[in-house]
Amino acid sequence: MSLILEEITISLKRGKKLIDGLSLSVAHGEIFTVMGPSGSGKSTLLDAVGGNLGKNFDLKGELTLNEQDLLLLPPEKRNIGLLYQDAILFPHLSVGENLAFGLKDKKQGRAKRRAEIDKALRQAGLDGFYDRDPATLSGGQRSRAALMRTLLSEPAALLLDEPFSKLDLDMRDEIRSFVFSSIYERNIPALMVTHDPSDAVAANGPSISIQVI
Amino acid sequence: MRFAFNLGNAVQIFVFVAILGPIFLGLFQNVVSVFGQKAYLDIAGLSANPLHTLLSVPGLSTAVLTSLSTGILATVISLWLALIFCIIFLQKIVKSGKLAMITMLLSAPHVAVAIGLTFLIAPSGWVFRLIASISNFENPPDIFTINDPFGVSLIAGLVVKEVPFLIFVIIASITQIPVKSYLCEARALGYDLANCWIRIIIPQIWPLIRLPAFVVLAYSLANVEMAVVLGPTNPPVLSVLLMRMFLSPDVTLLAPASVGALLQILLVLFVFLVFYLLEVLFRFFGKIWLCIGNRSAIFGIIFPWTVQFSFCVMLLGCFSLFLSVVWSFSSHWRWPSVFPEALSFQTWIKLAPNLVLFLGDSILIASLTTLSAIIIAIAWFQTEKRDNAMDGKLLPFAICIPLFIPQIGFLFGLNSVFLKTGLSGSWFAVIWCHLLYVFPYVFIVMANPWRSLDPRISKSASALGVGPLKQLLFLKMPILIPSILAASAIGISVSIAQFLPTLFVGAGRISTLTTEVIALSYGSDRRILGVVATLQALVPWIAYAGAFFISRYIYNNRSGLVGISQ
Repeated sequence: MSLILEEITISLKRGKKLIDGLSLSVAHGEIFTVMGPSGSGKSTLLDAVGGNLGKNFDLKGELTLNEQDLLLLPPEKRNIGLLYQDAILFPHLSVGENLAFGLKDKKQGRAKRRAEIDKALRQAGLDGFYDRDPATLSGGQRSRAALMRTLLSEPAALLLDEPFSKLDLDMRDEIRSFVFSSIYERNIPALMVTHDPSDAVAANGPSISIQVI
Repeated sequence: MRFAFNLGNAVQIFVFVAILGPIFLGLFQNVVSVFGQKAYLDIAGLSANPLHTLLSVPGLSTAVLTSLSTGILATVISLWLALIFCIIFLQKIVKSGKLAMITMLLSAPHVAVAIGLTFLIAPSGWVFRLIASISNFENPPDIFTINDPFGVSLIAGLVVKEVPFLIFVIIASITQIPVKSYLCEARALGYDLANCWIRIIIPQIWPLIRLPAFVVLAYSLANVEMAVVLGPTNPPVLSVLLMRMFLSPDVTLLAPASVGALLQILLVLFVFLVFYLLEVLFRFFGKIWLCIGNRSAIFGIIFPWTVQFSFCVMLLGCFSLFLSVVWSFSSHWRWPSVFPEALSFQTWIKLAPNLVLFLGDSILIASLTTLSAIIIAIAWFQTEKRDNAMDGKLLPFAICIPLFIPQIGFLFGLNSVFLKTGLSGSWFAVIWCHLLYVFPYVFIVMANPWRSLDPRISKSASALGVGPLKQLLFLKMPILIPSILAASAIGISVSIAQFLPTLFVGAGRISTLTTEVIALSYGSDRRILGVVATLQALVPWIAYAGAFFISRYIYNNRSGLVGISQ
């Protein structure tokens, strides 16, 4: 078992509970889907796992990734990749530089790094996009570039926050299967929140529904 | 011709003539006086090349070098401290006390802060009194802690005053980009907070704060009022050296001083160019550095240390202002007492008759200048057509040009022109010169709220048969009153702080709190200095507080009105 949430309870400081005693575990190469209406605290749950929970929240419970306790670690030490519905590319960098920003510095040398990035761009169907301005990309292209940037940072787990909800219907399937197959290929656990049932079906993994408390 | 005459163009042309005209005239007069006076002196047989005379002024090269070093260092240090403060500001909720500190320093005139600092760090100042009271030295130390030849105290003064301004500017720019999601994204890729800021956020906010940063740079390189109080004395920085030459009874120094004025402008433009080239270099090598993927934590170690430092700087500034107040109320305060031996109102009462005059004139000039600036700005927003790129970027930049041109560079020339036309020493001329510095700030503060006012309000009023003037008076102005209040506060504080415009163009006939403080700063009674400096800092502060409380009163039961954002 790799990404494990045990009795996770999230509440607003001196306020109401958002998540009450949630336990789940995500295996390697598995995509765990959390369904729920808006306001049910899905995104807050991902913030808690990723380490981005605001100071106005209280978090109780246990959270481990590959036997490592995450709760006290800052986001950058958790080694967890994020994929949002608005794929965020840094606007002051080109598409390729965005990927280079993600690529771990284990890979040394300009030529080697460039080759690695070109390979990733090719995999994402963005061949020759290294110098492109991210602002000129379509929604689907942006999603794929953001995914590749995240994967190049070699995360040990992935969090997906409604990653396909802003995409046009005709490309949603294509991007979805690209993202999912990348996860299977790297054999890492992934936690996805969504309100689209077809995402859960496509993920082909365990799923739970949470409700507004 | 596509350029059709209309009201909007007329307003814009008026503004350009009013704002840029004086600068052009002043510069032109400088050039004329260089050649004109040379010709005159040639005839009189006193031939001297103004440039040679300038170059033979003792200490000129030192003056240029200290101008450069103090200006550049003060700007770089202020930028660094302000950025770090803002980074932490976003992470933790800053207590309102710290915000009050920022506002107090932001509203205080440069001179008042400078005077306060001398009370704090002069050899007989409070810091050394404290040291003397716990150790056992009897006399104030015989060292330069203000007016030091390297300009360290001048840099300190500039930093204390510019950090709050830059913090304000940076916070405003940060709200324009989705900082939070960039931070989440970059941290998820394994970069710590400090790295995220340096690699992702700062490169994006720099274009938004570049102009204000250059305003700080221009001011730090060429200001007179802080340099007179805190800067080196012999030789002083270039701007002060030039002021002495301009005001010297020896008229043969006027032409060399005019050459010097042009030199001061070139100096500022040269530093602008250097900064621009540095930016290009940073961009180029920065990108390479970003692409290496290095995630080292070195900055994460430096940052928290720096933020404490920037708190200290602001605390220092506020404490300096406080010392002015204490001095103004002290009747006996001998070395090495840490606290005044007796407090009284006697200095205030003794000075009251004179103070009322200076205060009245200062407030009159500040209000008239601010009022005209607001009226002109409203006329501009009412008539502008925002369908071309000129209106969006170029015109606002042109309005700000006075903030980039050293005052010493053209004001004396301008006064020569005013002398010929009989305007010199008139209220009109002084207010006009203050307007050059007040209008840009008023325009910037008002631009966003006025331009983003919901156009449907105006449309529905028109549909009800309300004409444009009535709409302005009874709809737009009441709705946008917070922006007018904010603009008033800033306009008044900018005007109160002006020194050279009043000194040169007022021709000695018009005195304000600022000219008075500086006249007194040449070694007069600290209690008197304390009174005038306190008053000078108090007026803008009251304007800020007034704007804040009036708009809060208005908002009390009008939740649809949007507040003064900062």
